[in-house]
Amino acid sequence: MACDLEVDTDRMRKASALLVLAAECDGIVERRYGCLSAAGRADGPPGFREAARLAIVRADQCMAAASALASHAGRLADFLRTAADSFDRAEQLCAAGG
Amino acid sequence: MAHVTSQWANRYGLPDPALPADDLRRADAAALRAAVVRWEAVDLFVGQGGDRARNALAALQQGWSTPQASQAVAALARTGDRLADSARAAAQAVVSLAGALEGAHRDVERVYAQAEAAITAQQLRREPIATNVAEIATIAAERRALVSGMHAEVRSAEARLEAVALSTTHTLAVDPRDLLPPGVATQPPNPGARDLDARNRAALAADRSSADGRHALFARAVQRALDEAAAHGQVVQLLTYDADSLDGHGAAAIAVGDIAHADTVSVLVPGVGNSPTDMSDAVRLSADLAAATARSGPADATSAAIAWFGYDIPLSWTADQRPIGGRNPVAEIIANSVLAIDASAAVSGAARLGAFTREMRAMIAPSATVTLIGHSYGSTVVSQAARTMPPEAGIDDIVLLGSPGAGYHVATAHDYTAVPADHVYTVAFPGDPIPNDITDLIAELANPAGIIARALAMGDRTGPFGTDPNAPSFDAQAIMVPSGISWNGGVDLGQHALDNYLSGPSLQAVAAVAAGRYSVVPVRRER
Repeated sequence: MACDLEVDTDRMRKASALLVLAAECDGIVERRYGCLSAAGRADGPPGFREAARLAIVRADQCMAAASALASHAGRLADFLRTAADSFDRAEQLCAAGG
Repeated sequence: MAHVTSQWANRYGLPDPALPADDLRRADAAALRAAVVRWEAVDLFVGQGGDRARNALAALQQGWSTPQASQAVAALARTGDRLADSARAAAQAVVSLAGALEGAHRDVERVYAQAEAAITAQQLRREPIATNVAEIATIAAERRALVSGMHAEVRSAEARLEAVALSTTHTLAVDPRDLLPPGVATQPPNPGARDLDARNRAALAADRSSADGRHALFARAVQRALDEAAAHGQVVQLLTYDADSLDGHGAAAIAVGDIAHADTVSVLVPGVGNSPTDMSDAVRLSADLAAATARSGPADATSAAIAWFGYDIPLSWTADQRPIGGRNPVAEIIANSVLAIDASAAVSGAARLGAFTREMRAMIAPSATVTLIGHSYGSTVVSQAARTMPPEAGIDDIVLLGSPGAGYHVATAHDYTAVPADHVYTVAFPGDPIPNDITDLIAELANPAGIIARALAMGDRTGPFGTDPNAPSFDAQAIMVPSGISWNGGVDLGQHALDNYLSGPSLQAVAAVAAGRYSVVPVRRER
C-alpha cells in the first residue's frame, strides 16, 4: 500500500534548526549581561531616582522576558524535531506495510 | 568648600542654590547607561531571533500543512518583535533622560560661572564700610538678587529634568514580561523560599509536640502569628524559625506575601521590648505595609513584607510569652535589659540582618527591590547593617522610624555603603520622645562607663545610640508627615508606637519608598 503523509520532514528539521538559532539569540542577552538590580542605584532629585530605579527593574525584567522567549523557542524546536522523527518512522512503517 | 553665595543665602535668610545644585550634581547616569546597554542587546539579539523564527515559519509552512505549529512559531516571532520594539522605546526614553541629566549638569555649572562673573563685575565680595548705610543696602540687595536668581535657575533646571524623568517613567510603565503570550512563563520562581518555609514549619511542628516546655510554647506562639498572618489572605512564609538561638530568646521571621514572586520585598525590624513569641502586631503591620506598597506601585506589582525578629532584641523578656529560661533567670533578665543602653546589640544584630538579607536576596526575583525598615532600636540595627553591607548587597532603600540614633561610625547618610544618601529615609514625629536627645541622656545616666568603653572599643564618641538620623545635618530624606495621634506637648510614648509609624500618611509614605515612588514621598526640602 502506497503511503504519503504529505509532510516534508527535511523542511520541518530546517525549521527546528532555525528555531534553535532563534533560541540562542534570545538567550544570549541574559547570559552575557548580568543582573542590574543588585547594584544599580542612583542619587539625585526624586523623579530622576524613581525613573532610574524603574529603568533598572525594567531592564532586568526585559532580559528575563528574552530568556523566557529563548526557552519557548527551544521547546518549539524540540517539538518540531520530534514530530519530524515521528513522521519518518510512521512513513517507514507504512512503506514496510506495517 | 561652600560657595560664597551659600554664605549670603544663610546671612539673608534665602534658599541656598547649592542644595538643589548638589542634588543635581550627585545624580549620575551610570545606572541608566547600564540599563540602555541591556535594552540595546535585547533589541539586537531578540530582533535577530525574530528573523530566524520567521525563516523557520516559512520552512515549516512548506513542510507541514497543520496550522497549529505554524501559529505557535508565528506567535513566537511576533512576541520577539514586540519585545525588541519595547526595548528600543525604553532605550530611547532613557537615553533622553541621560541627555536631560547632562543638560542639567551644564545648567548648574553655567549658573555658578555666571554668578562668579557677576560677583567680580559688581564687586559683591567687598564688605561695605560699616557706617555707610546706603552702600550696605545696595550690596545686600545685589547679593540677594543674585542668590535668588541662581536658586530660581537651578530649580528650573531641576524641574526640566524631573519633567523628562516623569515622561520616562510613563514610557516604562509596562512590565516587558507582560508581552509574553499566555503559556510562556519566565524563569520559574526560586523554590528556596518555599523549601525553607516547609523546613521551618516541620521544625515548628516538631517543637509543638516537644517535651521541652519552652520549645512547645515558642512553637505555639509562632504558629499563632502564622495563623494571624494567613488571615490576611496572602501567602505566608516562615523564613526563620529557631527556638533556641540568641541565648534562648529564639528567632523567627514571617513573610506576608510570596517573596519568590514579589516585585518589592520589605524587611521590618522591630525595636526593644519585642519578642518572637509575640509577633501579632508586626505581622499585621507587615500585611498592611505589603498591601500599601502594592497599591503604591504599578497596577500589576506584587509586594511582600517580612516581620524579622532575628536579632537579640533588648528587653525582649518583657514581651516573652514564656517563663524566663536559663539557669539563672535574674541574670538573664539583666543581660537582656543591659542591651538597651547602647547600640552594641545593634552591631551584632546588623551582622545577622546582613546574613538574612543575603540569603533572602538569593530566593527572590533578580529584579525585585528590597527595602529595610527599622523601628526604634530596630532602626539602629538597620543603620548599622547599611553601614557594613556592600553596594551589591541589593538593598534599594532604608527607612528609619522613630530612631534613637544611627549607631556607631555613622555621622551622615553619606557614611552608608549599602545605599546612596538619597536612598536613606527617616520619619520622626515631633512628639516622639525616643528620637530626642533625652534617650541618649537616660542611657548615659544608666551607663556612664559606656562612654569610655565605646570610645576605646569602637573609637566612637557620638553617644550611646549615635547621631540622630533625622537631624538636617545627617542629610537623609526626612519624611514630613503628621502623627496619627494628637500631641499635647508632653512626653507621650504612644507617639513612638510602631502602629503610629505604620498607619495613615506615614504608612503611605513608607510604602511609596518601598514601591520606588520617590516623587510622591513628602520630604523636607532644602536638606
